[in-house]
Amino acid sequence: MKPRILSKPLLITALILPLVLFQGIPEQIPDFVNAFYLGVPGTVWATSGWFVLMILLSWHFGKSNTDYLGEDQA
Amino acid sequence: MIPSSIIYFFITIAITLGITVWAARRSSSKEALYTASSGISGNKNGLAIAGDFMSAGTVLGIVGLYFMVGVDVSLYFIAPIAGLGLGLALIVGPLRRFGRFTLGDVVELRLNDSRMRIVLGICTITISIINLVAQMVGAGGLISIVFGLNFESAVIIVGTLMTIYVAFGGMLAATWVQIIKAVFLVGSVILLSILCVVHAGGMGELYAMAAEANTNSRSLFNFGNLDLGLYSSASLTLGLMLGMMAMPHLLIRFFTVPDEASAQRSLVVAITLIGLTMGLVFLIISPMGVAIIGSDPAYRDASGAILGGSNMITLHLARALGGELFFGIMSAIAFSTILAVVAGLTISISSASAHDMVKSLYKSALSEKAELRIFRGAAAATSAIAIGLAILFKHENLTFLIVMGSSVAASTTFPLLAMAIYWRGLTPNGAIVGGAIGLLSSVGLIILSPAFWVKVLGFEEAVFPSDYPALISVPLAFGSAWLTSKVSNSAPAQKVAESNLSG
Repeated sequence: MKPRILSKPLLITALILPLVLFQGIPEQIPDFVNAFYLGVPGTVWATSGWFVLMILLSWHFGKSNTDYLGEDQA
Repeated sequence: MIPSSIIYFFITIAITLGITVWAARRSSSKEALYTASSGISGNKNGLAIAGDFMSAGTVLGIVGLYFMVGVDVSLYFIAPIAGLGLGLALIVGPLRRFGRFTLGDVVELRLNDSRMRIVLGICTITISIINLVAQMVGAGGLISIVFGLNFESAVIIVGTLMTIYVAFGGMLAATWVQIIKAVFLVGSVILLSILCVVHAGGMGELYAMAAEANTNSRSLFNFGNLDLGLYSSASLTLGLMLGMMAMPHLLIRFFTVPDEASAQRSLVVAITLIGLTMGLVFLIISPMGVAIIGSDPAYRDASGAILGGSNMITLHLARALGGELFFGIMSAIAFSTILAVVAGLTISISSASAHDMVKSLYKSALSEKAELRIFRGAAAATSAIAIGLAILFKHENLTFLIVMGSSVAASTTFPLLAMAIYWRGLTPNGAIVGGAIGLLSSVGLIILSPAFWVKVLGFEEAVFPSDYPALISVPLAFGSAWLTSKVSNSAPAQKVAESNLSG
């Protein structure tokens, strides 16, 4: 697999890793994650930020993938 | 007076059947029935994919699960959305270029071996049947509560309607039902979210109301309520991520667009719509469900449980904030969601049966007319089997069934597609062994898990300690395919000539 292709799954894996750790070892979560900001829980802010990031990333992937349309990528 | 939900129930059936009649006049060929003649635009296909993702189980189930475990529910839609992102980065473009009707086309083109169709056909049918049973079990429960029918009648109605849609209207009918439903679903979620914020008086007030109404011992807003542990958390995430990018009923949607660029465009549109809609469901509707429905004894039965179960919270909320009219509309959307998703799953099973399985096993050339007869027969058979299995498994946990389908997809179709697309060293024998090991290990570990071994079979202690096999079965599938390819003598994958590409 070419490095330019491998970088995308690695980036997504890195983005989802904190959620895996939060769910797997919740006792290790820092206090600021569970605090409230402007009346809204920190966990909710974090999840909202993740949604926005994922949508922006998909727009970026959709645009950058067109650079190598038609190539056999093996 | 007839309840509004019943009126909307019949309106939904009339509209979807009308679409089927319209589509049937345009669906006489194999191309039309399997892939809507690849004439769907990227934006419309994006709506249809979003509709496929946002099934009744996803939207209603997320709100119901939030009521019990709070923000932990985020894993159940964040991991699949990440999977769609991975699909966009890795699978969708090459899949559209190599394939025409089914996943079997993709692997066969690369490995030039007709046995690949049988392997992919078995995987597609297994995964889609598991998902279909999950959807039918959810449909039976929901329809029996909302429309007052018994479970068996509900699944028979859904099974009959899905056979009609698929056998006559094919992919064109299933796609348009999905598009219309997606538009109404997104619109209703936005409207319900606005009603929630207006009712609460702001986001801070909304979360304060939810925190006050929460009856669980732990906070809804802290992670850890699912008590997964690190292995199960990682394995569940892996299964949901990789499973989502390998679901046959979603992947065959990329054959309905004209080219690779449209396929990518459709997934960008889908991720945007899913992200926005699920964001509203998670951030606004779910906590408001806890605040209003959880705190009102009128929505509880004698035992203290939510009327109709926690999956009904969204519909109760629609009635509380928008009245009978909005409740009726939301119920109809939930019903059309079920119909659209089961139709898509039936198409993936029927096309895999007719185009991959029978065609490969039947040595002489199969005419298009005969293949279409098999496609329609497979749709009817799938419906009968799904009705029977849904009645048999009607008390089974829905989340378990959905995760099971996802884990099997992550362990079978994902390794086969990823290796066929990206590794020139894959051999036909490697693909067969990898697919078989992935299927057997994922299904085997699920059978040995607490959710099946203890809760279904009644044993005291599970042989395998987790309900989530992907962290073991996915590496096993990749490893066995790699090892067999290295030691076997069969011809490796070949570079696909431009003249062989369909996109």
